[in-house]
Amino acid sequence: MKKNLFRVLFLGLVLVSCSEELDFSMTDDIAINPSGTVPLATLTLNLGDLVNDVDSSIVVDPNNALRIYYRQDSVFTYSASDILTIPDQDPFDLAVTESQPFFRVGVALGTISGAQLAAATFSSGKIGMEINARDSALNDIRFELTFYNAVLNGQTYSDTFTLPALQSTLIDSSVINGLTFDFSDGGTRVNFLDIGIKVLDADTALIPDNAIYTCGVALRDLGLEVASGYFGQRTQAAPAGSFDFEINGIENFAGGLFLTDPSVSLITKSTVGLPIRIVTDFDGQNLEGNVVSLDAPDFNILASPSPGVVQESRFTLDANNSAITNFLANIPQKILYAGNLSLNPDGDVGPPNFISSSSDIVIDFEVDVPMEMRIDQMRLDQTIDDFKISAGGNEDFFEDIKLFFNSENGMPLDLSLRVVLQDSITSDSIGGFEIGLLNAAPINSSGRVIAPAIADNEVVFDQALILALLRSGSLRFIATVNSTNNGQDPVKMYTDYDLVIRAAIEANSNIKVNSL
Amino acid sequence: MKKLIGTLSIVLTLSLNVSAQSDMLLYNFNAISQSLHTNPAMPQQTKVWVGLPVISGFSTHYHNSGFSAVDIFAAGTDINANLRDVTASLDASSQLAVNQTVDLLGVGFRIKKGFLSLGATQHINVTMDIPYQLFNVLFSENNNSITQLDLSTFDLEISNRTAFYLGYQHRFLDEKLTLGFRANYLIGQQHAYIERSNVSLTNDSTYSIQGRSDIMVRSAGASAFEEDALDPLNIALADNTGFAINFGAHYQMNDKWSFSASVLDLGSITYNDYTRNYVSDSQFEFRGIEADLAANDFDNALDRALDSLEAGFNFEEVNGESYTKSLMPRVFAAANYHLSDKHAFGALYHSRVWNGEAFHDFGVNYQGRISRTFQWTAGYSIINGTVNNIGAGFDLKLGAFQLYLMSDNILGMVDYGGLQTTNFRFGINFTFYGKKDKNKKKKEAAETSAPSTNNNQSNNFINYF
Repeated sequence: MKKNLFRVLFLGLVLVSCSEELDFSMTDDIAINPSGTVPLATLTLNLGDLVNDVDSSIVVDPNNALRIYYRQDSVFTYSASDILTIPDQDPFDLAVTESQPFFRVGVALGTISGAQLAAATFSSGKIGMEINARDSALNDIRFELTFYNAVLNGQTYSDTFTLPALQSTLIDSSVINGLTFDFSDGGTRVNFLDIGIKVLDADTALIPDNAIYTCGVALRDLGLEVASGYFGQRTQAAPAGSFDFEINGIENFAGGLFLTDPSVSLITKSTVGLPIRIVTDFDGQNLEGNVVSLDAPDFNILASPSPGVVQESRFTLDANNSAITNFLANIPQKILYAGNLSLNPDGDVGPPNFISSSSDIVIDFEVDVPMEMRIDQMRLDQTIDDFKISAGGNEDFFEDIKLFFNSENGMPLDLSLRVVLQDSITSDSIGGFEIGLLNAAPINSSGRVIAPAIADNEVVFDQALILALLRSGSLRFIATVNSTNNGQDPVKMYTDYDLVIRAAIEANSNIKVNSL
Repeated sequence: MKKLIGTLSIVLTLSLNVSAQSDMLLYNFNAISQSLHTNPAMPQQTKVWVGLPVISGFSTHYHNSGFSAVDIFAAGTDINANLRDVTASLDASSQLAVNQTVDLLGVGFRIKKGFLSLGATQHINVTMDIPYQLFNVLFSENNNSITQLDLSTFDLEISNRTAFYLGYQHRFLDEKLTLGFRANYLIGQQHAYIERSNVSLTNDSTYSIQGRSDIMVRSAGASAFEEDALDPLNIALADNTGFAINFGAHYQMNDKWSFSASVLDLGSITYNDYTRNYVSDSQFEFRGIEADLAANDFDNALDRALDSLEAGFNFEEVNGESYTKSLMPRVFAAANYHLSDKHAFGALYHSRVWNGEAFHDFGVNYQGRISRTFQWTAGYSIINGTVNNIGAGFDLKLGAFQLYLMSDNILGMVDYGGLQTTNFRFGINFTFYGKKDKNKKKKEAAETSAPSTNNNQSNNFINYF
């Protein structure tokens, strides 16, 4: 019995010694392949929250409807000097002699573009006096210059210039700030200057025999305080410029936005008693560089009825008088402007013009448009550069990947998205996919959303697409937006529109443990 | 979370060098007094027994009902296919257990019809469910979704305790019936267990993961190692005490048949010192990166999402909360058929209950009582579903010194590749059997020629020896 039992035990040990070999180096080959569906993101958007941004160009009406409101003040500004300037006058000579020590003459004030001034007060300016004599006198000779149609501090303007003894030439000037002219000569003329010059009586006897003093008088550096009359008919170019025009939420899109009732207003405020016609050239440039002209007609700025009164004029551009629909449909990001203004475009008609040094003409730009629109193929095209995913040499890390997208869209907009994987060197397309991310919510007859639209999408990344993703150096996103019914139905936007986008990933992995 | 892992690591580290026992052969092998550990009523051959400190008993046990090394690493095979096969075979009953028991001291002696024993043992146990759900996620071709993960059935317990015992058995009914009892005073040095691990991540839709976390991990002792001045006495004699009883019976029905049964480790330890709980009770929904497009708040959105996921578990540490944990009760039941005084065959059932789940072992064995000098045993066991367990053991008495060695799976000691269950027990006792009953021998010789049908005194191996 005992012997048999030992035999059994021995046999067991022999069998054991024949057991299989173990190879622990196989651990290098261990691959784990967990799978899972993991939520990636839950993104929400409420239009009301979006426009709460204080910088937003979208405002909320009392009925929660949205409108685009944008105002750019002082797009054009014209000052008094832009409208009326008095050039430096050419000198006019008056000769004074012993025998004729007094001279008075009427001359015309030189103006620009045929301006005909009836009256003016100069806030600044100088009277230049140049006296030349053939012979010098032994004594000082004093000359009195008088503007008989000008007053300063209630007195007829007069000033004295002295040619020193033994001198034959005098160059001098006198400040005439606050000097007021009546150029009308009692209502009979315009631009009339009544000038007199004489040697003071006391000095007449000192004038050498046969002496002739040539007196040159000139008005220079004239700055108008006020002026009236007819300022002539001329055109003044406004400097060209541009300003940014961004509407939050769509600033990255281009084209396809057709507002139902678009309008742009130009508001002018004038304190110039002068009718002016404005000619503008507004061009809108979008993200893609496309430029669409506003084609705004000319418009008139009414003259201020009296000094100090601001005359406001509003000119509205709409679909009937401009290309504003296409202008805004282009989704301009930058507005380029140029223009000019014509003074007295109809000639010397109507009441006299007037202006003061504080007068100006300011033109504001205002967009106030309800967000009632039709969107047809509005596009976003953006590229994320320097895109890089490294698999660490484990390119088959994932056997396949599915991306799931679900949207509850409370906005009346379709959104389709095309993602292009671009080669890191050539930027050529090496793969991609396209999904209809959002379905437009249905609307009622007034364009308001009545229920959210649900969309479910799935993108399968097979091995080829995964490899393309790993190779790609940039991702190009091309989104296209349409309003309900493929962009054919106008829709209205309200603050209570919501959007929820959910994304998840389902991955079947094949991970070599020794690569971790 | 890091502290939790640290705590488990500390306790696990203390549990290394653990030895093993399923005790399938030890139970009936009463040549050594360590059989009293399995049944306090097991009749003892020795008159006096002294367990030499530390070396009198050292056992270690390894059990992995899920897989063996060869299941995964067999040369020339596809390891991933092997892992898939292993994964498919795992279920909620798959368990990994490593135990070690050291007899610190032991003394036993016969008192007329009784036998008194006392001593101390050190027990280190690591028992855990094999997290088959994780295997599924990692290696299965199907059901491998991480978002269908449910770890609610995962259990783990690690313990290190000292038991001071006092046992007594007494023979009744003309020594046919022996009843035994052992009282254990317990001191737990380290302990940790998962009371609840209701962790689940499930997709309630494609775009949402519902997370449920109802976790309670209790620990004691490990946090003592965070103290700057570590006092070993504070750890060894921590105020983590308890009481447990073992009791059993042995009945010698006649010359051929005997039956026995025992119940062990009915009791618990209350942990008061250095306790720390790790608690998570939360429910959360993970929807990925959550961002408001209007607010354009994408900065650190991913970090915020991950932070919210971590915060979702809401782990908290609670120090100083006492708790009571029951031991793992065990039950033995055996029947033996005695071919003669020297040869017996037995059948054995063993069960242990852990966290409400019972694990069953079955075995048959042979006991050969060749002489006082040499006795041996061999057997076959099915231990928690593992079937390749052929065990053997012996004791060799050299004067007063008794050397013993046994294993429930000697094949596993050699064929480590296919090892799922094995144990190894050895020790050196100082034993005295007393004088042989010469009269008994003569009487037996007479009865051999004229068998008696009415023998009031049991003719069993104890009396023989």
